[in-house]
Amino acid sequence: MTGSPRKALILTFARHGEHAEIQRALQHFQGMAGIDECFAIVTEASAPVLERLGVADRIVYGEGRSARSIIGKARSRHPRAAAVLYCDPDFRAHLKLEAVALLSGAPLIYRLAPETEIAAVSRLSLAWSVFAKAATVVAIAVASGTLCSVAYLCLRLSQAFSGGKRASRA
Amino acid sequence: MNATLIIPNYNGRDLLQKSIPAALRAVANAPGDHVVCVADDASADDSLELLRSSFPEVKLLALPKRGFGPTCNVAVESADTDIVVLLNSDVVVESDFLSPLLEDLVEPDVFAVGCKFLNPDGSLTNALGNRTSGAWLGGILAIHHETRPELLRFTCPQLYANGGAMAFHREQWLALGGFDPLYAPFYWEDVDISYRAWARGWRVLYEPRSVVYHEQGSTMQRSFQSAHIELMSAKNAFLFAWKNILDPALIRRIAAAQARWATDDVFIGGLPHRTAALWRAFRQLRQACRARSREQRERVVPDTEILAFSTGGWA
Repeated sequence: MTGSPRKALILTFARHGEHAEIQRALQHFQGMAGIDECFAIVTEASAPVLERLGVADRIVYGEGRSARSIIGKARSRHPRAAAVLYCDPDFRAHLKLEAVALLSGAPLIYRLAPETEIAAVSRLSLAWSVFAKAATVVAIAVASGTLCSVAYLCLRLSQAFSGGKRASRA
Repeated sequence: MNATLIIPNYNGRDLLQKSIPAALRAVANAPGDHVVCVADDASADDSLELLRSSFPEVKLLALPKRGFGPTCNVAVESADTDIVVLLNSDVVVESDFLSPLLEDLVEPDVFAVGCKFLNPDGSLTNALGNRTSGAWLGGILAIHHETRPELLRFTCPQLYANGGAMAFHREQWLALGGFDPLYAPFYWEDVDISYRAWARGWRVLYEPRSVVYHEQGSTMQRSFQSAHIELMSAKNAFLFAWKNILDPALIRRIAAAQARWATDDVFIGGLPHRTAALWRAFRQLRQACRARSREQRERVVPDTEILAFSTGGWA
């Protein structure tokens, strides 16, 4: 049989490598029928770990690439499955990874965290998670923007009323 | 010049057993009449018994519970020497570490001198406090700690002297008001006082001939969980900027960047403390404003020049 290899996508923004979780995701896909090879969306920190584990096709997040270009590269490889690697067992954070996993077009999506089994997650459930986290971002942005704006105004006012001199070196 | 070596202590009995003999050797090794003093912050272990029975030559300040910064302030006020050296209880000094610090402090415009920090095994890997410099990233002053040995050979200016082992002029410390209680319970006090010293036109130096061995975090981690330590550090990072940055354009940019930085919790795993830290800092805003007003009255060097000076542009 000829044709392009059937691929699985591993998404990790691990800051310290998280070697064990990456290895577990790889083993899962290697034992999965219909998957020939893996590619990964990684950070600079986790790229060397995937290289050592034999994943040659790595898309490094950052390095001047926009989110749209990362999604485009992932979609062009037509992944059959994707695995999102989290830092904590409650699957917090990693909004971008979840969004990329959804938009990559992979029909099967798994998630994995330290001390948890790899488990399939429905696209609907992941979409809800993306929505909830995006809403949280907006709420935090509004709240922190308000706090920082109030703080800024108070700091400027206290400065204006303190009657100090403007610093300068002769 | 005579110096008082002050070791703030809280439940650090086993650490004192290593750090005090080294400090006493260093004091005996340096010309002058120097004193070792332990400022005990109401330890619940038997630190006081150890000090009284095994180290009678050590001056002991048994204080009521105040926390790290205020304990240091009381101890420095009570010292009767021109020079004070603050040493963490988990820092073990080389026997010849004191003289180079005293040499550097002969210059009246040098406020403080920081030591060369090595890990207990003598390595520099991830060692903190060496030739520090800073840059504004995401509304927070990101501190760089130099670890390349070839760049740690010469006395040079640095952004701040790590409070784990720093020598300074007592009079200047008192003029600066010591460690600011704004940063209670811990972290950023040393960055803050060094920054304020630079802002008044004084200098802070790095002295590689004064070698100390530091078991990083061992004093903090025995009393606090790491999540709490990270939370307090992030809170104080906000407060440092709010208190010290007087340049209108810079503080505007910093406030905007801080609001964005707080949202990173949702994007980046393992950082669930920034929004909580912002809220905690906000609750201390009034205190920060008062401290800011005080700083404004004493400021000589503008913010835009401090980072450049402290990293070598002006020495």
